[in-house]
Order: sequence, then C-alpha cells, then structure tokens
Amino acid sequence: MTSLDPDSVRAVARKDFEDAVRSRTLLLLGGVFVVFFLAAAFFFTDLLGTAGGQGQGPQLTSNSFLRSLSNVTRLLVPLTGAVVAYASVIRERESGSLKLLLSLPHSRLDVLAGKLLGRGAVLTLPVVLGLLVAVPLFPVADIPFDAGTYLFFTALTVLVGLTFVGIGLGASAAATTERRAVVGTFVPYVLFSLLWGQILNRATQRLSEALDLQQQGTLEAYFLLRALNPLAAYKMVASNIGSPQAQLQLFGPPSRQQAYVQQFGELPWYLTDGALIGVLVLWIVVPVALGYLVFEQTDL
Amino acid sequence: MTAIELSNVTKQYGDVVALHNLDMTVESGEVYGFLGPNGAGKSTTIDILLDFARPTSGEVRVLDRDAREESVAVRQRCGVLPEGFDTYERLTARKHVEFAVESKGTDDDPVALLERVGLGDAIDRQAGGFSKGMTQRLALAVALVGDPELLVLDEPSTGLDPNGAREMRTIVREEADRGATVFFSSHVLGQVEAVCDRVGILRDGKLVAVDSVEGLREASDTGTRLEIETSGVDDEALAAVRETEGVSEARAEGSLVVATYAGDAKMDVVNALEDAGADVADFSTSEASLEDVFAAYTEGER
Repeated sequence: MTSLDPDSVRAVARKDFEDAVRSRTLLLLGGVFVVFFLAAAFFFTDLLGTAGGQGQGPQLTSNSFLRSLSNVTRLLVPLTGAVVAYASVIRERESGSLKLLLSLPHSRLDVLAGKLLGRGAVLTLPVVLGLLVAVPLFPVADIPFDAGTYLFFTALTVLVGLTFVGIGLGASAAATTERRAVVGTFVPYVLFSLLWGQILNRATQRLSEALDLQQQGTLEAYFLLRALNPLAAYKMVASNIGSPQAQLQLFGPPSRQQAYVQQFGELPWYLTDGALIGVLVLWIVVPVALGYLVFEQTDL
Repeated sequence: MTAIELSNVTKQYGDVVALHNLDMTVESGEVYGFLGPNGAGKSTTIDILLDFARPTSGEVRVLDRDAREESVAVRQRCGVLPEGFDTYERLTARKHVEFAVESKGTDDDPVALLERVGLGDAIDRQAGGFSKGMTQRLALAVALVGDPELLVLDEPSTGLDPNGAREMRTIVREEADRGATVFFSSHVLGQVEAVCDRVGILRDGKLVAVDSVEGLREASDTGTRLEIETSGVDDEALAAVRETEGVSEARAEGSLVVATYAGDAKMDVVNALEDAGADVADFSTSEASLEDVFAAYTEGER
C-alpha cells in the first residue's frame, strides 16, 4: 500500500521529464535562466570593472556577485518551482491520464516521488545551466572566482527552488480541483515572499509582550520565526557566502543578526547554515508527505 | 481459482449508495460480461478492483490478493483499459507502450503490440492527435503489455467503429484462448453476446442476475418475438391475439402486429388473427435480444 519501488519511481520520473521536454517547458526555462544569469553577471562584472578601475571600495569577488544575486533568485527560482509543480498531479487527475498511470503497477507514493524527481529535474537543469554559462564572465572581467562557493550557491539555489516544487506537488496531490492547487501553491509563495516580514514583526511583538521577553528572547523569537520561511532561510545562508557569520552585511545598516552577535556573542543554533539548510529540506519533504496523506486516502 | 471476488461490498459516496452489499465472483479463465445501465455502479466496481476507490465495507480480492493492501501486485498482473481516461498528448504511441513495458518490467515489443491493435501506422505519432477510437486502441495495447492474467476492460468499444469493435472482440477471444480472464464492462450488448462466457447484470448497485447468455434469455422469460404483417388490424383482432394462450404481449404498429409469446403459440396467433378477419401477409420470429433481457432486468417491473 505504501510501498516505494525505485524502478517504479524512476519510470514515472522519466516519463514526467520527457513530457516536460516535449512541452518545451525545459527549453523555455533554460532560455530564461541563461539570459537572466548572463545578464546579471554581465552587469555585475561591467559595474565592477568601472568601480575597480577607480580603485575604490573593497576587493569584490564572485562571492559578492552571489550575495547580491540571491536577492533576485530567492524570488525567481521558487516561483519557477511553483509554476513547474502546481498542476503536476491534479491536471492528470482531471484529464484522466492518472487512471492510465495508476492502472500500471505504481503505488501512489511511487507516483509522487517520481513526480518530485521529474519536476525537480525540470527546475534543476535550467538553474544549473544558467549559472554555468555565467562562469566565463568572471575571468574575462578579471574578477576573482571562487569555484567552491559558486557550486555551493548553485546547490543552495536549486534547493530553495525545490521547496516550492515540494509545496506545489503537495498541494497538487491534495487538491480536488486545479484552482485549489493554485491557491495551495501560490498563497504560500505570496506569504513567504511578500507578507512574512510584516507578519513576523507583529508576531514577534505580540509574543514578546505575552511572554514578557527581554531583548535577547525577543530577538531569538524573531530569528526562529524568520528561519521558518524557506525564502528567508535561503537568503540568510546566501548572505553568509564568502563572509564569516560574525561580520554579516558589509554594507548598509547593521542587521539584527549583527546587533545580536555584538551583544550576546554567538548566534543561536537555528541560524547556522546547517540548520537553515535543514529548514529547506523540510520544506521539500513535509508538504509532499502531507499531500501524500491526503492523496492516499482519496477516491480518484 | 477465482480471478475476482467481491464479498458484501458496499460503497457510499456521501448519502449515495453506489454499491449495495455486492457479492460477485469471476472465475479464472472466463470472459465475464459486466452489464448495467449508467449509474448502476459498474465503474465504481472497477475503480475498487484497481484501488482507484476504496469500499466503505466488504472484502475485495483480485487474483487472490487484497485489492487494497496489495494493489501494486494486483496491477502488475492485470491489464486495464480504464473508462474516462486520457493519454499523454505530447507522448507518442510508442512511448506510451514503452512506459507500460518499463513499469511492468517486461520485454514486450511495443511495435508488435501497436500493430496488433491496428495502430501500426501511428507508432511515432503523438497521442494528442488521436481520434477516440485510436485512443482506445492505444490503451488496449498498453493493457496487453506483459500478457496479463486478468484483463479489465471498461466499456472497451467506446468510440470504435464496427470494424474496430470486431477487432476488439477478436483480441478479447485471443486473450481468453491464451488463458487470460477477461472482465468486460459494457452496455453494447451485441459485444457481450458475441464474446462472453458469462454475464452479470448490475442494477442500482446490486447484481440482479448472473448466467450464460442463453441461460439469461431463458431465465428472463421474455419469450419469442413474433412480427406479423397484415392488411390491417382492429382492436378486436388485437384482443384476440392477446387472449391466445402463451402470448404475453401484443401491440399494433400500423399494419404490423408485434407479439411476444412463449412455447409454440405462433400458429395459434396467426389463426386467431385470421379468425378475427385480418389478412396475414407474412410473419417472422426472432429470439429476444439481450437488449430485451437487459430491459427486463433493469426496468424493475418484472
């Protein structure tokens, strides 16, 4: 009943991926990401070439590029993941092709796992391709290139995209209509990308008043709630790339993290990169698992 | 050995009872026609066999396995032509069959299967451009992958022209000769008459009759249909026919008298008509079609 068969998962994933290739989704996304990352890298290196020529500012590297790029990728890549995934199950259910799929010896868990892999690949390949294509611009512009962090950023960006593949797939599996799948996928996106900051400030304030927290406790509550947002978790990890955690944010006003570190020493454990990456992984697994629990009980 | 066994199966959707304490057995190796009007619960039954839907209560076993707990194993040994399905419009016919071959882990040749169902000239065309009939043929090819022990065909002749329907019957027969059990739902009675060993009729979620096609005809007691061409009949002549022993029903359609009788009342009817003053030009008899049998069982009056 709840069996997971690797051969079965692979068959479903491959079919799903081939379908995406045929629909030109992959081609389109590949084009979008190549153009996007190339343009971003071009403007960055071009700008830097000018600034560097004047001998001003600190030495910038590919890490600085990644940190600033993460302001856009944190919105763009999860949105792509959501678009790729939200219809993945419900559209097959509504059209009836799911009956053809499930008349073959696949468990419903196989189907969801296969879809996660298939759609995950549809997101991963364009992101990786786009970031790879931008690499040669750094040596050309004579900007130091750190391959290790570049690779790490690529993996991290794929991971944050996969969180919304997971959310979209979970919503798609649990929904009974495509409209509900859209709501279940894009409401979390809007929540995490636009509204979380406001909610966070209010929630922290209420919590602080209710529990009579001191400054440290208030800040910790704020951090914890912020870290639960996958887009914020991604941004926090990306901001640490190439710079030690204690001196986050080279530019701009001191952040709350800085304020915390200055006053209380080390950051709480849940703001470490490992914990934040764990948050991202949970945002992939938990929505799919919840979607499965509903999907498994459903009469098709 | 039994291929399909439903014991006391009830399925409710909210307040609607789709299946009502259904008991049904399909023996291994037989071709079983599953008949019923729309809404009788045929598709619900098939959905339960394949674990697309779960019974509210009761036990369902397919190929000696639990239909729910061991569904993957069941579907490994089944070939299914579902109803209300769709293909992957962007994938070719070949890809569909290849996917089924990969899913079942068999070594079937997709080309041979597609040629067998009459899609030999559409192997590398995308399924989105297929007609309804071609889509049915493709699904049949998918169902035949792996020489399944049990074929579940839900309204298989939907969208097929008479020629296609005949080819479908031929394949069903070939599969049965190979030793497969075929579970065949339909409302096209000609299909069922021609191909099935046994027929079960479902009405309002209950199995109201199970028999061979001939046995069903006898059991349903609809008798023989007699058509008599006359120069014209009046009510008196018609009444005379109705009063003839063995006649259960008679009506006039213009100058044509249509009577249903049991036994050998044919000549009595003709004589009664002539005695009443009608000229009999010609007459013919025909066995009741399964359509009549079907109507008798599903209208709820008899």
